[in-house]
Amino acid sequence: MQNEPKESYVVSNFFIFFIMISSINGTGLLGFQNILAKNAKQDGWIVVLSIGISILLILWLIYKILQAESNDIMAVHNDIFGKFTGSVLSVIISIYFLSASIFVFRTYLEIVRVWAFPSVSVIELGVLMLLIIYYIVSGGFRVVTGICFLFALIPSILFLFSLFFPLKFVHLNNLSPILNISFPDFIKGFKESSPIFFGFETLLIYFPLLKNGESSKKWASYAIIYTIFLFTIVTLISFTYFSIGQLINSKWPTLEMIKIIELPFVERFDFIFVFSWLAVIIPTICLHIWSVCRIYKRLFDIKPRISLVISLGIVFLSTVGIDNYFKLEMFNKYVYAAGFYFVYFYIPLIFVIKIGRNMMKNRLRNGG
Amino acid sequence: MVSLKSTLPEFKNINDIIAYYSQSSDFSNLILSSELSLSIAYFDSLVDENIIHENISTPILENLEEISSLEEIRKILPIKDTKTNNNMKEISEQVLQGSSIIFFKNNADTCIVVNSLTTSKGYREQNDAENESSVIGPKVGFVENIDTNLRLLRKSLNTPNLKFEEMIVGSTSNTKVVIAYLEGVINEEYLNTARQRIKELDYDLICDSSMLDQLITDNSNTPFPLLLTTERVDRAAFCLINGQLTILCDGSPYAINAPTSIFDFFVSPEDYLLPWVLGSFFRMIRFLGVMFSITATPIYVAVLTYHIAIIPKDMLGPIIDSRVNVPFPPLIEALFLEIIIEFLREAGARLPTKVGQTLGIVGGIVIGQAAVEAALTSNILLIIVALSALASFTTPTFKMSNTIRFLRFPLIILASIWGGLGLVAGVIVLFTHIIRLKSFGIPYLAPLYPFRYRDLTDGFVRFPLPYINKRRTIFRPLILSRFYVNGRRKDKRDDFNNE
Amino acid sequence: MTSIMNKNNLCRRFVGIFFICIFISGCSRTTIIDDVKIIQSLGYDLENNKIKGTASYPVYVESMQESHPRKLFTSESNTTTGVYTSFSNQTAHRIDMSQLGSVFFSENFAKNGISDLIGNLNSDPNISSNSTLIISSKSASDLLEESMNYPPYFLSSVLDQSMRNGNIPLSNLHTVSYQYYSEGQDMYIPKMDINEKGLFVSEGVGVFKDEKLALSLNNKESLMLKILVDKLGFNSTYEFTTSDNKQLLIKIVSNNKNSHVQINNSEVTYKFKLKVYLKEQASKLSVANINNKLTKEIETNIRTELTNLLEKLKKENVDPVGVGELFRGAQRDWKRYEFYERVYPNIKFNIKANVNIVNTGAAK
Repeated sequence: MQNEPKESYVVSNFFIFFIMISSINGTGLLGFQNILAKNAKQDGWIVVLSIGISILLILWLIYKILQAESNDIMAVHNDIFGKFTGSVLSVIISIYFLSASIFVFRTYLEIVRVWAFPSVSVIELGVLMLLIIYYIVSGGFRVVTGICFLFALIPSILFLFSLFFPLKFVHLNNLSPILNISFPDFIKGFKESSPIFFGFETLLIYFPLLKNGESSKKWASYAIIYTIFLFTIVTLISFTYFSIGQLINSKWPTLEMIKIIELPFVERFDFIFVFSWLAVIIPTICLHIWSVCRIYKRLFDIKPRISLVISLGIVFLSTVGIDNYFKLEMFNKYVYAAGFYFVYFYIPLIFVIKIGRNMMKNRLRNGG
Repeated sequence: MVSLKSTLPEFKNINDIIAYYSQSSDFSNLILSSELSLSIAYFDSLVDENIIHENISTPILENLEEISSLEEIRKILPIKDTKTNNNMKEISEQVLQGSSIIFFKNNADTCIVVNSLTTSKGYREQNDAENESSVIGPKVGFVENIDTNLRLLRKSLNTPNLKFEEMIVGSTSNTKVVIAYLEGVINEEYLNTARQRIKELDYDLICDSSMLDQLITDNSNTPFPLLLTTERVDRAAFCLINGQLTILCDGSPYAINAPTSIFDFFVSPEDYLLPWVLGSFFRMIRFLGVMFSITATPIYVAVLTYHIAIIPKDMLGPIIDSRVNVPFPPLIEALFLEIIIEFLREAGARLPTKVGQTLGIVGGIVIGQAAVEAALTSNILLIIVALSALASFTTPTFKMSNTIRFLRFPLIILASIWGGLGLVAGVIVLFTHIIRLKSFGIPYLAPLYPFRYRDLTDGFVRFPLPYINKRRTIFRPLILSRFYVNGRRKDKRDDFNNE
Repeated sequence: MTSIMNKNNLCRRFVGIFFICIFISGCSRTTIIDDVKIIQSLGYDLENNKIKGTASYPVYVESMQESHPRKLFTSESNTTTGVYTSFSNQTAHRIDMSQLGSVFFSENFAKNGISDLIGNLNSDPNISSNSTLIISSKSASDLLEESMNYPPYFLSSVLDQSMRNGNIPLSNLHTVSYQYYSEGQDMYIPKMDINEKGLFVSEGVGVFKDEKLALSLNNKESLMLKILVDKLGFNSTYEFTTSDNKQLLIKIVSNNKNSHVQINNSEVTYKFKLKVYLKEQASKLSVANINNKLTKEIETNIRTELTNLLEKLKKENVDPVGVGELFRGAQRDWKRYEFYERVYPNIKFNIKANVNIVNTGAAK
């Protein structure tokens, strides 16, 4: 199952920096402090930092898994498990990506509804956004990359403007005593908060479309480091701006924090924040949905247009199906768990199997 | 399919052509010598009477005795641009291009074709670049005559590398089209694209290069201009230097430059004539103007329809005050004013210059003021709409400034339905659209995506001229360097100690 | 050719869907700025065990008026959000809370507990974190009634002014919720009153124990609280009597606080570096006086005032200063209940004030 895309579909290595940032961005950055505060209290930033470092390790594993002869997860699956089992596993991964995009999509709609348009129907907003996503994804990977590139740094720009204002209300004392977290709490916090970094595993799919896959590692690591930096800064500021009780009691602390900003020409910056965030989640969703289409194209040679329409249909139906916040929370839990096991168990497992096979092969070759 | 060309009869000899063309009243067929049955024929409307008189009829009549064949006539004629031809199809076409033919009536198979096309008749002399005016710098622009235009180009780029390639397009108009390029710089790929697209073109009447532009563009379902049309000679020369090609079209004072990226449309020649600090500043002002022009009215609509919270407390009073008697929702109010401005602009473009100016003032002040007093719109909106109209005119290319004025309408509607979310959604779609566009196969958003940091020396900011010594890499020119900078010029004297 | 056909079909489908969206959306959700009642201040009173709500909003009738007449809604309900429902029954327009500037409640209401109110204000994303909570010494509806004679947002600007240039510690919805949800600190909320002439005066702060109003601090005490809790924005004036019975007015312009906790001895040390301007004519005092004696005197005065306040708070077992937070930050097994039952009443405060007289005005 060799996989060499046409030259004209390939994007240069440098863009993986933006693709990776965009794929991690999502609604996580708006409200991750809640769960973090519940589990880790004032040591939340340590948990974020350690999740980030673990993600760097997983990234390294992914680069080890994706090597020249089998350069995406579908090829790896076929290589290891044979055609049938491999395809089944790839389909399962596509379902995971699809549900991850549903999760981001639905959460954002929820935020918009709560924050700005209480009376707007999810159906209507959903149709609007799916049309945009269709327009982007149908343009192919280059267009998706372009959108990622243009909008990847929006959170940073927004935060750059907005994080100065809360500093006036910061209580540094909130962070002490440092390292007061018990080990079980740490593990729990790690497990429940790790999804904020998920999305980077789409690399397993788009890797072959990078001009020089192997050497893109540098840019990918920079992207992860950059994201760790961003998340840690936001964590530090929100944990000092809010008291722990306040964090536990609010759904989207980042937005609450932005509410304090009052400029001479804009009274409430958080509205601008919420709407600009559309430009942050759209690349994330597009990348996931593109990955789904890509999986089906590679496995069954289904035309991307067809699989795109079908996946958007599924996204739409599930968005409508999740008709209240509690269902959304439930759904989140499942997606989070799936992501956690996928990233922290499945990817290392594949890695171990692959290494084992290589060693076997080498031994056989040497023996024979 | 019946084409106009196929209705022409088949010409067997020159007499057939004469007979057919004589149906048109501007066709002349004069007999120079009845003894020899020597005739000359041409379209009055196309030829220069002086050439006919001084260079053709006089020498022939003076030497009438010596003449017995066409070759002898050719020797007598004092001009070089003559040809003996016996291909009826070619002859009939060349007569239409302004040639006159000399032939013996009794031997109507061959003739001399003399180019006697007038270069002055029917063309305006004056060539100011009126629509892309600049305060400083040359004001010379292209005119309707393609020969003059070629001369202007040749004069500003006086190098043997500048090549002109002539083609005829338009099945009925038979317009002369010239592709100009710098050989050794331009990437052959674009040249082939241009050749192929012009060759494959099938259209009857090409009356301006803008039409050609639409016919050879990559995607016609977009409000964005994908090829840069300009009437300024310096702009066309600059494009040629950068490895783009220029297409000139007879009868049109506009040259098409291709391929282009969106940033080309925001470049004004003045940027290079002013110091780089000012040039960059004005360029950024232009980008700011574009952003303001596209988003100001939609933001007003979105905020007033949905997001009251965003308005600062001190501004709340004045804004409500100005709107309290207006019975319409902000959407109707905004569309009403925007359309008035578009009326004014459109009327101003159609009316004679002086009437247009008066109308602009009358429209702007009287109608605006009256609309506010009649409580049809709020005066804050009036300011916003007027400013954004003004800002849209900062764009130095006419086609792009039209596009920018158009773009706000879909955004206003989106903003009125989904507020700020609709606005952001519109902007995302806009960017996606731009990313998907291509001009001659080059991504339209070029130095930004795909990212070419080297090209940004002349992007949002114009660097000092010695730093712009590389051609834009996105055009893949054959020679990258425009010139070499050997050591920066330095003032040797110590400024602090000069006495 | 076929591809173009497809594209056209697609375009048509897009346009179709777009118009369907417009149809679905209708226009019921719009909040056009002149079709809503923009509530500027809310007031809550407790009357006969029922919550009485009052809300003021501007009315815009003619364009370009100097000031706008404002009106009041009043209603009664059992809950703090319940009052909105009956507000909207009184008007043809929708009620909009997004420009809410201040929320008033009477002392009675505060003594009954305000956790409901804070919860509701926090759960509405429309309400700005910068809006202020104010305890009114008279009933909140009286205060709002009186404020009808002033320009919009007058009450919140009076308070804002006294936070920036006066004696009131910085307080808004965010800081109040911060303290409310914090484990080691109690809430304080500024108080306001109308004097005999019908003018609004800010008069100190009310300190809460949990969710209930427990103690009121006067203006001088609230300045001391400001010194203890505020980090930025000092421009407060402070009046004191010197040993030779001279009334002196000083202006505190900056405050550099440093706190230190000794857990074993239950000891808290606060160090202050205050920069002050002398507002009194300097010629009355000799240079030597200013440098040594006066500085010492101001230091001692501030020290005693601060100690008095801390002791008073300790006695009442309320902690608006956040001593609990200091201990929580230093102690790994800190427990709220234990701290306030056992440690806090026996705590020892050490205060070191360092005053630097930067300037004595323009006259010499």
